[in-house]
Parts: sequence; structure tokens; C-alpha cells
Amino acid sequence: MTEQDLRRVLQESTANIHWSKDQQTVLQSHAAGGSVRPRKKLVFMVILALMLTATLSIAVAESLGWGLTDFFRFRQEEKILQEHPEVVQTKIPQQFSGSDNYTVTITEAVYDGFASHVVATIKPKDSSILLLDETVDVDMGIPALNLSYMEFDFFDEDAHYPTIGEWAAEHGKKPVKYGYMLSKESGGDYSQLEDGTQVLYESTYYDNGPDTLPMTLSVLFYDPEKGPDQGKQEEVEVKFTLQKTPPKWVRNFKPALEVKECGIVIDEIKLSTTVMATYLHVQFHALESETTTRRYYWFLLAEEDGTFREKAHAGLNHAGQGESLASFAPLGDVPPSTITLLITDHEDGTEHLIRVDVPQEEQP
Amino acid sequence: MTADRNAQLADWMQMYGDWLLRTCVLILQDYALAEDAVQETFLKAWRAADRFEGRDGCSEKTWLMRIAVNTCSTMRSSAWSRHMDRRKLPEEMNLPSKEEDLTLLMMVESLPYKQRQVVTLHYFSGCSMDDLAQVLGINRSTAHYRLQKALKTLRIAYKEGDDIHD
Repeated sequence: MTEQDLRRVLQESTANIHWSKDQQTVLQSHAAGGSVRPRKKLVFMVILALMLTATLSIAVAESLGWGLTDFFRFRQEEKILQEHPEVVQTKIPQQFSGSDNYTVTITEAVYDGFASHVVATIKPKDSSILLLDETVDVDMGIPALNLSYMEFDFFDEDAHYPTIGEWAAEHGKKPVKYGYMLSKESGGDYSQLEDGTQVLYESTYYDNGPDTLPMTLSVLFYDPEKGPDQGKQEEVEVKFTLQKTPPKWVRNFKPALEVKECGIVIDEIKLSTTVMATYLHVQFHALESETTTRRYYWFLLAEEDGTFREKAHAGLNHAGQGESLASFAPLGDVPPSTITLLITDHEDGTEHLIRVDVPQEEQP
Repeated sequence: MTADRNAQLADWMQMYGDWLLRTCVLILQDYALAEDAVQETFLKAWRAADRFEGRDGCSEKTWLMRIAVNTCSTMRSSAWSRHMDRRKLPEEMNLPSKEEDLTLLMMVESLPYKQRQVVTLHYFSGCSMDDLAQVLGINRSTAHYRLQKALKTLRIAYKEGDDIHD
């Protein structure tokens, strides 16, 4: 294996990846309007903001009102939520365990029985506390991660840039790390506002969850020097409940469809459409060999011409043995009579298109 | 001035869009995150376009890559990326059909972040040692050392098979 092989493999493996025309159009249209809408997702915005307090006001930061649409910026969900604000829950019943040092609040959520997207804020009461997500390294050099946001235009190799820890010490800030988890496994993102407030966004997935969903958000605060075990300072939690926005329609059916090319039988399809997404859950079993049972298949929803339907970015994607779950841009208000599935063999990349009839009545 | 900047943005996307996106996919191992990173990169560059004058001998291409790499580092720190399954390559990538190529790709993608970053930038993005130093904000010898360390990691991973050699 040579360095040339290394180059070739990296080139070939990414040859089909292209900067999309859609993304180009979005950026160009904003630019043509005279301004590019600034993204508010600045992981280290607090550092920048604290360094530029002379020009930024906390009042402005608070008025930003970070919410779900901000985390879904430029994604289809942003438009969906703008068109259907009624699905966003803002008055969420919640019980905070209390703290002398922090306030934790669930501010927005969407829950449709298949996915929940929750926004929470963590706000230190003491303005000298510099909250840092647990992935942030206190020894990290500040400009290295904020090139275009800082007033440093370019790096000077010989210059010493302060680390986050050094900057905090210089400005009388006390770094405190925090880690958080929801009662169910989730994935998400976070942002930091100018006043030090942390805004968390977490998505969780369900297999037709209950109408009223109880959840708990736990947050652990700790000394970054000592770590979460030795340096634990405080642990708080918020218990809250979400109300399900009912799906537009659900079709669970058992087609017992044999797909010979893949050597599998599709046992069950669960197809559900909500305001947020269409969720496709396929269960299958292998016809024969053990080899087939170890193969993983993605079942993607395709348009009639075979091109695959846009995925829900904030949605679920999972291929396991005997099952595949994925979410897509929502289908219409009534179930289609047929759907086209693009079956992708995760191992060798081969694809098969099949058409499946969808029952017009919900099967018992 | 705005019209110039807008035209420049269009040129950048045309010339460097694919290149930046592919680099970010290899570094972040997530297509959606990589798309965000490139978008963020162009936004940052668009905002700072007036300030770019090829300072310090830094080419426009290197400057864009530097912003992209910094953006990737920021995104990688986010809570979302912590939940990613790093055992899987993005489905948008072409998985090599030859087993040894696939093994090599998986080994590169299994490298620690900084090593994967430097291997991607050098072997995929075509960054020279000077470019690496500028892109990563480190000195040239550090860039060289980091690349050698990455190659050593790959060699160790390859010890039972072929070797990486010049």
C-alpha cells in the first residue's frame, strides 16, 4: 500500500459528493439580498461575546430567543415549523428540582409520537460562571476556533493566543463544565448566548409513543479540572411532559413481500405521516443463508421515478439486523396508494427499487 | 462592493464547493454536518471577504480551507457529534469494492481526529506542509510531525498486512 493508494482511495470514496445546487442557491439568494442571514449556531459564541462586550448587549442576546427553528436552520424542518407553529409546544408543564446557582427551563418542544425535539436553557445566576459543554477543552486556544468571529484576521505562528482557561482567569470567570442527558437516548446540539445561557436541543425517537410523554432532563455541573466524578458540584433535573400532536395518518401492514434480489422477505411496514415527517419502519427476514441475515439494508422512501425522497434531517435513521428505520420529508394528508422503496445493501452498496401497495384502510 | 462580494461567493462555491465538502465529509464523517460546515465556511468567508487580501502569503484556497477546518473543529465539539455512530461511514461516500482499499479507508477514518485531519488535508486536499501549517495554525515542523505520526499509526494498523511507503 503506497501513499498513492491513500490518495486514490480518498479521492474515489468521495467522488460522488457534490456541493448541492440548493445550498448554492440559498446562500446566493441571501447574498443577493445584501446580507447573509447569520447563523446563530456558534458553539463558542460566549467566548467571542464576552471578549466583545463593549459592542454587544445582553439585551440583544436575550431577544434572540433561540428556538427549534434556529437549530433547524436551512433544513426543511425550519419551513415546516414556520408554516405549522401550532405544533410547537411553548407552555410545557415542568418541575425543576431547584438550584442556587442555575436555572434550567424547557422552552420549546415538538412531539408527534415518533420523535420529540426539545429545547432547554441552562442559565447561571452568577455572571462570573463560564459554562462550558463537557466536550470543550479548557486548554483550547480561543482564536483557533473562532477565526472569522474574532477580530484576529489571521494567525501569527509566533504569537501566543490565550486558551479558554487563561482567558477566563484573566477576566475573573470561573469555568464550570456541564453534562446533560434526557431520560431516553437522544442526540442534539447546543448553542451559547452572549449572556452565558446555554441552549440545548435534543431529539429522541419512539415507536409510536404515548399521548402524554413524561421526560426528565438531568444536568450535572462539575469542575473542569477535576472531572465529573471528583469535581461534581451539583446535579439538577427538570421533569416535564409533552403532548402528542396526532399523526395525519398511519398505515401498518404486513405485505409478506419477497425481494429475491436481496434474499429477504419484507414482513411488516409501518408508515406514518405527521406534520414533521414521514416515518418508515420496515421489518424483514432473510430467506436463507446466514450471510444474508448479517447484511444490513436501508429502506428509503423514493419518488415514483426512483430518486430518493429527501430525508428529514432531524429525523431517525437506523439500519439494524432485520429492520430499517428512516424519516423523510412528510407525504401528503392522505396515504398514497403505492410507495416506492429504494433498498440499499449497506455492505456492497447495491440498490433495488420495489413498489409496494399501501392499504387504503388501516388494518386491524 | 456587495455585488463584488456576491460574485466572489458564487465563484468560491463553484470552484471550491465540492472540494471543501469532500474534505469536511472525510474529517467529520457525517454528510449533514459537513454540509453545515461548508455552508458556515462560505458565510464566514462572505462576511470577511473585504478583509482577505492574500495576507501572509496565504492563498484564497488555503484561507477557505482554514475556515472550513476551524468550523469542523467547532462542529465536532457539539453535542450532536458526540452521539454519532463513528463505526459507519457516511452513506454518501463510495465504499471501495476492493477489500484492501476499504480497509485503508476505514483505517484512515478510524484515526484520532487530529491525525485524520492532517492525513485528509495532505493526501486528499493536496495541502503542502506550508499549507498544513497555515490551515491548522501550527508551525511547519509540527505539521510534519503530526503527519508522520498519523502515517505511523496507519503503519501500525497495517502491520499484519501491507505497509504505507513513499
